[in-house]
Amino acid sequence: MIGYVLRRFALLVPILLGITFVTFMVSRAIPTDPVVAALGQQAADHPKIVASYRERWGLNKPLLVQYAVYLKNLLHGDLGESIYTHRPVAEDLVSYMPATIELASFTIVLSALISVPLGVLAAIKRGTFVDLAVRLLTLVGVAMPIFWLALAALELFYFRFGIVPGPGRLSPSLNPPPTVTGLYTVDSLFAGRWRTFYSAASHLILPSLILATWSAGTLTRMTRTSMLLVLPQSFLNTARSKGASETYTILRHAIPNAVIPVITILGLVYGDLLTGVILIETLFSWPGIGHYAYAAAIYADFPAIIGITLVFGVSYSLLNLGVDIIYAVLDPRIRSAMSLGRR
Amino acid sequence: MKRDDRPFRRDPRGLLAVPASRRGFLRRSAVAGGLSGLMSLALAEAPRAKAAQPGKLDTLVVAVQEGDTRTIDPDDADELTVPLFLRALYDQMVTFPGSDVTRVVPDFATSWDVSSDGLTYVFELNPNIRFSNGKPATPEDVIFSYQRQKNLKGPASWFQNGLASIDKTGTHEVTIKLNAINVDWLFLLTSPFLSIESEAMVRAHGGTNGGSAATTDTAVAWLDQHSAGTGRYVLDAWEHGSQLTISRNPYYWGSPAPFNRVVFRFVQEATVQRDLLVRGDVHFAMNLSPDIAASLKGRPNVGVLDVPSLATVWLGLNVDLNPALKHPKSWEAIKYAIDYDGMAELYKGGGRPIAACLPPGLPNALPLDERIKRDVPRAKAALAAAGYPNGFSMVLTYASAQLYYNVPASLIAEYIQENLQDVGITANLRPIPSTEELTEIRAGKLEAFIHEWGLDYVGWTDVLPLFAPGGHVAGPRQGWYPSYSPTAKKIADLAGQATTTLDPTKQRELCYEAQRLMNQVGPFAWLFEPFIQIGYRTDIIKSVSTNPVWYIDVGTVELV
Repeated sequence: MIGYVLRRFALLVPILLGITFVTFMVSRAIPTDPVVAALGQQAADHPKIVASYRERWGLNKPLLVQYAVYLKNLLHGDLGESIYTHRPVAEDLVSYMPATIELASFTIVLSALISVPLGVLAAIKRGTFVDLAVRLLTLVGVAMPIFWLALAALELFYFRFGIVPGPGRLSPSLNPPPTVTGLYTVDSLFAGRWRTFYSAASHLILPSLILATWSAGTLTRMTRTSMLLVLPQSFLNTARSKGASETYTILRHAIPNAVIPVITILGLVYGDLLTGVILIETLFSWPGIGHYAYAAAIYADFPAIIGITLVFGVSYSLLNLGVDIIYAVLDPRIRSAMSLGRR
Repeated sequence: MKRDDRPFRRDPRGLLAVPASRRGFLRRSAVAGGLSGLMSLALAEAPRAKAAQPGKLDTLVVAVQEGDTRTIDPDDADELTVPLFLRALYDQMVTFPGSDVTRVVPDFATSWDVSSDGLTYVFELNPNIRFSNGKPATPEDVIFSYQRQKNLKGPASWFQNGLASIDKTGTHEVTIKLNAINVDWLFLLTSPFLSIESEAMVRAHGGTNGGSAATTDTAVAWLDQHSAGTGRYVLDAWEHGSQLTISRNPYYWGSPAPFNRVVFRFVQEATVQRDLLVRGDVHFAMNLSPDIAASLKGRPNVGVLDVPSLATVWLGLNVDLNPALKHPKSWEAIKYAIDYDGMAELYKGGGRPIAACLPPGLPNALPLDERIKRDVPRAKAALAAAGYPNGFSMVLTYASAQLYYNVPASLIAEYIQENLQDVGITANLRPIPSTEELTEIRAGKLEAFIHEWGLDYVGWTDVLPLFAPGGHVAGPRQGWYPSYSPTAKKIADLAGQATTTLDPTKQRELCYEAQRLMNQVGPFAWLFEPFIQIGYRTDIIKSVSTNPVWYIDVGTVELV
């Protein structure tokens, strides 16, 4: 098992190298000059300022030299300096990631809480009105454009009815809690600031519910399908023949077996949430990594773009690894295969 | 018996059964409690429209796009949104009186003298000014600030290009000598990018004004989280992507700040800014689109301020790239084919026509009644004179997602395409990303484009000389140089003379003539000047000074 995990970590190196190479070359192939994007109208017309800028960001060097310098710095843990913010990219990522992690984590918990019971229910009640309703609901959740849904939800629940707070992570009247994790809900608890905690938690509700409509839709359908595959299997009849109630059979035997493929999807959905919530972050003024990625793309901020891509790559790889480890924990057959190196 | 094999009483009602046991009851109660807790959490924090308490407000909340805000170090910043923050935190040598941008009044300096040749400025500094650390401001702070900006070699360092020397010439006196006459020099000094910061505070955090500042100065990061100025407010924190918070400067030398705290809440979407404003969660919404601004007019407790941006949106033609566009008569055909007055439908009160490159709010702007108006017969005649009686084709490039103060470039492009079609000119639209468009414009690669010139400082010298033949815009971007024609040479000379003429009347005459000639033979169509449309709560805000540089001065807000 440990050997397997180490092998997977070793595989990360070529993956990340490939990501840096492709991103580096693609970002420089686009016909955009980052100096033009970064400098104002007057400044861009002064050759000395432009030359100084190019030199500072190494843009006056040949492309391969730029890449080699980047890799060398990367080996020392240096992701470079953002052309746009002038701060180290690593520092920027650390400041933007917690907001996304908090939103994605809240969403994934919410999604799991909604989708697993719904998926199980739909499978148990297969062919009934309940099943139809759940399938329709999840179809709507998956098919609905999230941007439109977010706008409509803001209009309805914030603007018309006023039952949820507006955009942002915190009420403007409150200062953020002292940073420990960067997650406002957690940090406010550490600091014992209950009002801040309430504010942070309530600001999470609407954006995470909207994100959950999409992720829960996918997860519910997966849970239902998986349950439908497990329900006819004979080991459940064995449990029933021993006198176990239907509830007990479902809870103790069907769900644990059906949930394994759902975990894969859960990991992938979490990865998507960490890397793909740009629209929601924009609409809800949520200062997360999507927000940073958007600005980096607009300003052709090459170091930031590569840094973000690396973070996305690492997130996906680690999540997949995490899912595999959870597989092994849940299923002794997989654990045994991993130990034998047969995967 | 193993727990998993324990016999269990089958419940015919399955998962939906009412719990018979105490444990089941507790479990379901916990779920119900959790759900109701979630709802009450949302309701507890749900916004309420704030009742106005006359004359009292502790925290002012402003919704604004973070936009291009990269840094709030005044010596390193040169972006459009930043002056909104800098004006609250720092003072400049001189400033504008309220919303009037046609004259300057004392700020850091109490008075000044200008030599008869227009090259030497002697400023008497206000001896009562203190920085936010309580220490008095000195001439050394002014010198340090200006030299640091120059030597940082950042995007704002061009502000110092005209400076020959800056010296302390008295206990509270600074003398600045210029390389050449700059008739807008005092107006340039109003820019928040020429703020005065405390030398001691900046040095203490790694700042330097030395020649190697570009590589050795490390104060930018500190200045992004702290301020070192003499403004009404001090910076509390800038949380990227979230908000920027400032609080009252206890050492402010003038009338105290009206609020203990101001929160600039970063909100990207105009519709969301509107919702926050209407619900009373913010007091100002800085980035309304014309549609939204129009829909807010007439709504209770909400008003809209229309602030002329002093920016120019124009259609530029490159004189080298398309054979049909080499002929000045083709430019004339395009200019007279466009329905400028009809364009008001696009900006819906969020803009106004312009007569030439200088928008009406700037000194020396050509009067509006001299503007070009649509004249289709004249456009067709010009086409025939150019040798294209049946029209021609051109590629019209614009930045696809660009908003000119919230008027979409795509709408303008489609509108112009329709207008040109009426006289037989086919404009093939080419929407591209804004950074790509900017790159190609600056490289002179676009045969026709829609673009905006936003002011770097409030002054006509930031516009007219740049659009004159050979200027930064007309030359490298549109290929129009003085050598193009005798008239082009004449326009360039007129603009050059105007920039060194101190007499305001003569200066205006020169500018007028240059603009009239540019209208006759220049490769430009002046489209409109967009407005900055700012929403505000009329039940709370009585007045605020506005201008196109820092939009609103939060230090001047008066409450109902």
